[in-house]
Amino acid sequence: MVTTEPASIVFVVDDDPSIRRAIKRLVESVGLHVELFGSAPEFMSSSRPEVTSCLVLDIRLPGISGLDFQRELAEAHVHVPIIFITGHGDIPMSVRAMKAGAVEFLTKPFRDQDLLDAIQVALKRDSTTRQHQAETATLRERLDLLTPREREVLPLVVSGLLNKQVAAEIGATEATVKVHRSQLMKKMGADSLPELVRMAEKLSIPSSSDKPRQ
Amino acid sequence: MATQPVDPQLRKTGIGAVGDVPWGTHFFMFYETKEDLLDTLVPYFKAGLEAGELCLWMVSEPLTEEEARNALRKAVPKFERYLAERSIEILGGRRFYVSGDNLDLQRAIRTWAEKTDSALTRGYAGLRVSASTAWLARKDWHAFSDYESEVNNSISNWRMTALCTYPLLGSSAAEILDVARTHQFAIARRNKGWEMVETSELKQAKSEIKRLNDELERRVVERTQQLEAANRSLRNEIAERELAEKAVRESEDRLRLVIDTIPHQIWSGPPDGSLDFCNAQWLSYMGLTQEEAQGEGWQRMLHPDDREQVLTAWAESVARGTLYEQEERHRRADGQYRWFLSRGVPLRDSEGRIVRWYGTNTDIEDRKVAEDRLRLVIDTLPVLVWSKSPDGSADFLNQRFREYTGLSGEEGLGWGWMMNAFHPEDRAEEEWRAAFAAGQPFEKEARLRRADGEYHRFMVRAVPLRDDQGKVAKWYGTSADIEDRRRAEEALQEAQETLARVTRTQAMGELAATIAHEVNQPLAAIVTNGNFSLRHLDSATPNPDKLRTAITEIVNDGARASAVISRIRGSLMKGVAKRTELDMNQIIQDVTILLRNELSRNRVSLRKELAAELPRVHGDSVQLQQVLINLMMNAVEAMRTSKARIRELLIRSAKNSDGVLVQMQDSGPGIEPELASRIFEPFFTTKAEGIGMGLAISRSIIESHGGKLSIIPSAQGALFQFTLPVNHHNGHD
Repeated sequence: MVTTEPASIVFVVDDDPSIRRAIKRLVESVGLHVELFGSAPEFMSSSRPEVTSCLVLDIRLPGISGLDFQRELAEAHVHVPIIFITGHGDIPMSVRAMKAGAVEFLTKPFRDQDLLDAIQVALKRDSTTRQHQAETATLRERLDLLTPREREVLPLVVSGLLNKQVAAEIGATEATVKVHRSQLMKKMGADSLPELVRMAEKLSIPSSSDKPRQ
Repeated sequence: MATQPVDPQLRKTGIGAVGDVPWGTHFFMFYETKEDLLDTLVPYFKAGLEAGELCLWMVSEPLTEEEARNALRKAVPKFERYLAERSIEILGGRRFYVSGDNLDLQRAIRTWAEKTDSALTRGYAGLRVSASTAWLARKDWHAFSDYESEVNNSISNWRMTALCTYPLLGSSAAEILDVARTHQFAIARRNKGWEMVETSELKQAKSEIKRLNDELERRVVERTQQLEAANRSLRNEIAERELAEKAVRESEDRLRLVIDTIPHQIWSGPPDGSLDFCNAQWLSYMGLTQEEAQGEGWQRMLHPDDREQVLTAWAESVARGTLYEQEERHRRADGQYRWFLSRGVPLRDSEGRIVRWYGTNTDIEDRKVAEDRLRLVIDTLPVLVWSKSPDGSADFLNQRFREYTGLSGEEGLGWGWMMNAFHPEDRAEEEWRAAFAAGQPFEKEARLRRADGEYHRFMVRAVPLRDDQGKVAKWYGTSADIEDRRRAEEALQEAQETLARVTRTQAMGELAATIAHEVNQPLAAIVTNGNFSLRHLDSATPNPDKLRTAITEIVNDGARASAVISRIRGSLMKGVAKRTELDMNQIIQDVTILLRNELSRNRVSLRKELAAELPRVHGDSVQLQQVLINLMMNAVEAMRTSKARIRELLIRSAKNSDGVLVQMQDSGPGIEPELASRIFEPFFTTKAEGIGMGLAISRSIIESHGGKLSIIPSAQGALFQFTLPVNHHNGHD
């Protein structure tokens, strides 16, 4: 267990201090870092480290309902996975919450394991999201290293064209294309064509397959 | 004979006694002497010669031809010239008549004719003759007499005058008579003068003529008198007639004035139905002239919608000779139509034949408009309007009745309004007859069958019209469709009840939510802390401090939950302080009134057995009402969900040792004994939509009043009862 630098944080927003404390106690007992907030604004104004995290949110908050807060977060591009807890949940409310991306919807008093499982799922989802974001950022940095000619060649290559075809497409010799290709593979850090294709997908580079072929 | 010298036909005879004679005069004279002849014949021929006549003188004895000539020569100037011209011939008579030895009288007649013709041919006015008969032999008298008769008959055709001379001496009476018979008249010498002797025939003729003239005159006079009389009477008659006509004219003028000025339209016409007279009133109304209106001209002012009916009815009256009476619209000159009552009667002769039609048009526009307006009002009133005879049988039903029921007017009359229109279950004839017989205004409800078969509830209201003796003469009334109102009332009631239920449910739901949230918070904390404690105990190194903290929180949250429950219960019991002295019976009455519709809608009959002289209780009327409503609603719901045919709710109040006892028993399925102890627990319910608070709250209320609410085992349905202490002033718990 790593306790010095928290690898992940569980945020709890509930106006009931007793529940906040109980949840903190429970969640910390499985080795997770917990941070407590008594209200939505308190959470919004806090500075949160960029680590894997999730939010345990009471649906009945003073001043604002949990569902409205969920929407506010989305609008503020705070993409933290949410686990709702409620005193008197109902189906329409849970459906709304789930549709809006909530990980789980728990009715008080909830089973401890349900909460902990939900937290695990939420953290994993956040972790994956963050990893994707990091990879994409790396790839984007690499993409920025490409020359304009290499940028031009990339979509043609990932759409499966042969060097000869690429050459015809861009009006260059096959040998030149070969050079561009090896250079961009190297810069992107791709060991194989399939890897380059996956990178392109992550970067949302459109394949040139929709372009008319001669 | 009267002298008429201007007549050219008359010839001067020259003989004073004779004067002038016309051509064709044949007369004679008797003479005695030569002088007699000369005295007569000389002037006779003188006049003839001077008048331009051819003269022929046959002389007889005793006069000679010479003597005749000399006498003429003396008497007639220029006689020689007449002689030379042969204007006068003087000859012996015998020579003229006798041919040989025989008397040739035929020749004599021919000679007269020839002589006359020759005289005319020679330019003479005619022939003047004097004939002598002195030579005549006795034997020849008869022949001569015949000859004279023939001359007398023929001479009138000739331009000739003849004077025959007969010697008086020697003539027998018979001869004189013959002469007189064969001549027109005679001249005779009497007393030294000449007289004209008329023949008896002439006299007779003259006297006859005179007589006739006299007669004629008399008759003329008489006739004239008659005519004058007639004229007078005629004049009188004319005068009278003129008077009468004047009177008639005046009368007619007056009549015409009357006819034209009375505010009535009057018309008449021949039996064929055409009109030939319209009075001024009508003409000016129509804006037509008499000529334009005549015949069929008047028909142009008929309203197009009435035209066919009017003309058909008129044609029928004309054909049958029956009275014409129609209400019809006539166009006024300005184009506006007004209603008229047009009536026509035939005038018949003694044999019953129609001579003329007379008619009037009466302006009934105002009446019609009023009538139409009234009928329109009556027919369009949103109620059925009727009138009925004193016994209740209908004699009038408005259009709305016919439209609603789909019955014809006849089907609704009499008692048809009930038998044919009412719902079979509402046809309580005796009841209705009794209501009418009572003679007082009344209101009754009944279901009426609509034309499409649907039944609507109606409020029938009847008011009697009384005669002078105060007896009911007529019933007037309305039947108003109150179905919509009733339904609206029911819907409103239902809506109110639903709203009340929803409100109650919502209130309960909110209460439940509050309870859930308030209680769940500490519960969630307790469970979470408990779970943590268990996990921590299972861990390798349990930390007693951590455990203590968690368990302390569990204890605190437990207390907190309890406090929440107390708080809610306390809030429920709020407002219990409005206590007054109450009549429980009155509260029961109030509540049954409140729930009357709920009961009737669910077809629950309510029976009340309320004790008289119930002691007053001390309490909160609203809360006690709430308890009663709760119990009653439970009972109604229990009976509604059961299949029991009879739905009866009995509310009983009584005085008992504890104070006042109120019982409520329904005819529903009852409460199962094993549930009986649980039904007062909070949140216990047997109802799908219930939250199980009603009886719990009710019990709390009764207990807060120092009473007891309980369920009593019963043979039928559920029996709830509660007691309330009397004079119990300390109901707080």
